[in-house]
Amino acid sequence: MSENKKYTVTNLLNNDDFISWVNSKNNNSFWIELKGNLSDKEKVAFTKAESIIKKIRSLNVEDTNISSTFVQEQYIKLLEASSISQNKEQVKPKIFKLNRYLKYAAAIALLISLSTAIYNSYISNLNNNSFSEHLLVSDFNQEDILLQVSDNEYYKITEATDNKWLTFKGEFVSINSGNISFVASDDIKNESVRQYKLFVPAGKKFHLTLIDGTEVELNSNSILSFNNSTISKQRNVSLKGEAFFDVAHNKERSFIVQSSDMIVEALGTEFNISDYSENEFSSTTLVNGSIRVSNLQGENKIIKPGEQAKLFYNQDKIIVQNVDVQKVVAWTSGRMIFRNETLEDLIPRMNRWFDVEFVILDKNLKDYQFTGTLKKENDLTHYLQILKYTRGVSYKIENKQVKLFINDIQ
Amino acid sequence: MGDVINFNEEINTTNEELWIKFLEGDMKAFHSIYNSHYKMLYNFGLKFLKPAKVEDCIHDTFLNILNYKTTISEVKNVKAYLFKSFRNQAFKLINSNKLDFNLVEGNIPSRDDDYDNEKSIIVLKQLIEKLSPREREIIYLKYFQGFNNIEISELLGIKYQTVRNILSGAIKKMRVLGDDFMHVLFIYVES
Repeated sequence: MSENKKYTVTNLLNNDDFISWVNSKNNNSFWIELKGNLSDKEKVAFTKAESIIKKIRSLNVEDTNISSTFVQEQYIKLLEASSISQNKEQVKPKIFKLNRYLKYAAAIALLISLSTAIYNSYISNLNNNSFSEHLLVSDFNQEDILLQVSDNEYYKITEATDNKWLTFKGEFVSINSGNISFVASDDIKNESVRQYKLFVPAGKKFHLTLIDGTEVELNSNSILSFNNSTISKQRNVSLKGEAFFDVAHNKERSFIVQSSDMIVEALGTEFNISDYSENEFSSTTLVNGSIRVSNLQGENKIIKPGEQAKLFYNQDKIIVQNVDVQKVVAWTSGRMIFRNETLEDLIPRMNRWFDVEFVILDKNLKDYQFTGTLKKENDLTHYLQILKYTRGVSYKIENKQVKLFINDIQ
Repeated sequence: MGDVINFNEEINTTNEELWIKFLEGDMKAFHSIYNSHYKMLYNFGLKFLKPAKVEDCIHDTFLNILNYKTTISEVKNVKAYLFKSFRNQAFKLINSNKLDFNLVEGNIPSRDDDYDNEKSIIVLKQLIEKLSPREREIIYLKYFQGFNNIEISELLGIKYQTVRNILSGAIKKMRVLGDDFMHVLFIYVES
């Protein structure tokens, strides 16, 4: 034991306090004083040990310079990955596959190459970031995807909106032309919860990731109102139009969607709500999990996967029936599926899909039945050509109106 | 550069407290652990991994911590725990149980065109190259990261006495550095 107390080169090179004294530039008086009291032999050992450590350290292996911005970006990447993996754990094998995780992955990949100007050094410096720095301020209009941040504050999300991000009150917001996602940072402030509204015009769809990890695909002509509270008793959103929800599991805080005439309550599940005013009914279709659907009169029903709850306007009863789920949610992957449907029934959907107004000039056409799949990547004329050559339906496009008629009429 | 270790010593006491706070759900504590260890892990990783892999490896290390938070208990030394987890993650990534630890990565910057200094660096490089990967790693953990022998033994999963033995072997080889510079150079030329 006493051997270890001797100030030999080896002992000193093993002494953590000594190492830390050499490495830091602090004037720890203990070692300085000690050096003065050592015997000549020990003093030589002391100087040697000191010099060895300094020389090893001169390798300068700490030299790699990573900026705090880089670390910050990596941290956001981590939070996003963590909210995805927590979300994924809840997702049971699916009937169909959506491409949203891929898209999401791409969004994360983009995040890595973010511009450094946004982050100065630390989150606390970032709270002043505002949407106006990154998005175009807009008036309310029917053509753009809009994010409403407060009463009279609208921001346009366009093709050029890629790779934009900011923090606001502890929310990391990542915005791309096709999606927006909110991620909680560590210093989220819950006292003042901001209410957001997202407007998706006809002919477009948009993906949203809420702060709890819930994924929402918003269909054309739809409005979703939401907030990013992480402490409220329930997670409340309200919807006009159509959306597909993949709700992040959280037993403590149920997820509630309020539409014009329905209230859907879920814990962690996937469902589709369609509430377009031009339809005769609104509907909620469950893909996975379990939900409770209520009407405004307080009647409620538990829906099983594969079932659809329908509520016709001006009727108080909730009707539950089995439906083709794949068809209902096809729009989320950019497809529209028809199964023996009459043209008349299809028209409202097609109007939203193509952002045009179909007009049937020939009464006989209304009962034409269609079966098939429409893909988002194909444009309107592609579809009209198919109609023409397979069913003999002619068309004329005038501004935003598409007039359909049978050949010999003209 | 020299401040790194001193800085650690100052916050070492609070790191473990932060860890407990994190396990209780405090993400701010987690963030601060993340921030204060990222650069260290990054530089450590660069000694045996390519930069892109280091990034992935740190990402996975912290992701595991977040995902398996409920099964992680208190740790004695957060920094050692992180280094250990990171190492395990690296083994998975390179699909091997050996790390080719390299202390001298590429060029060592020479300061002020100092001729003598440049020479002594060449000598140092030669000495380091004679060390085994394991010796290099322990030298790094001890003299650059400020871990003590107990922590190193836990981190590497080897016995305390083994750490001591490897370290004294390495010190023996490095001892010439303590001698006068010209003397070192002489030995170098001779060998």
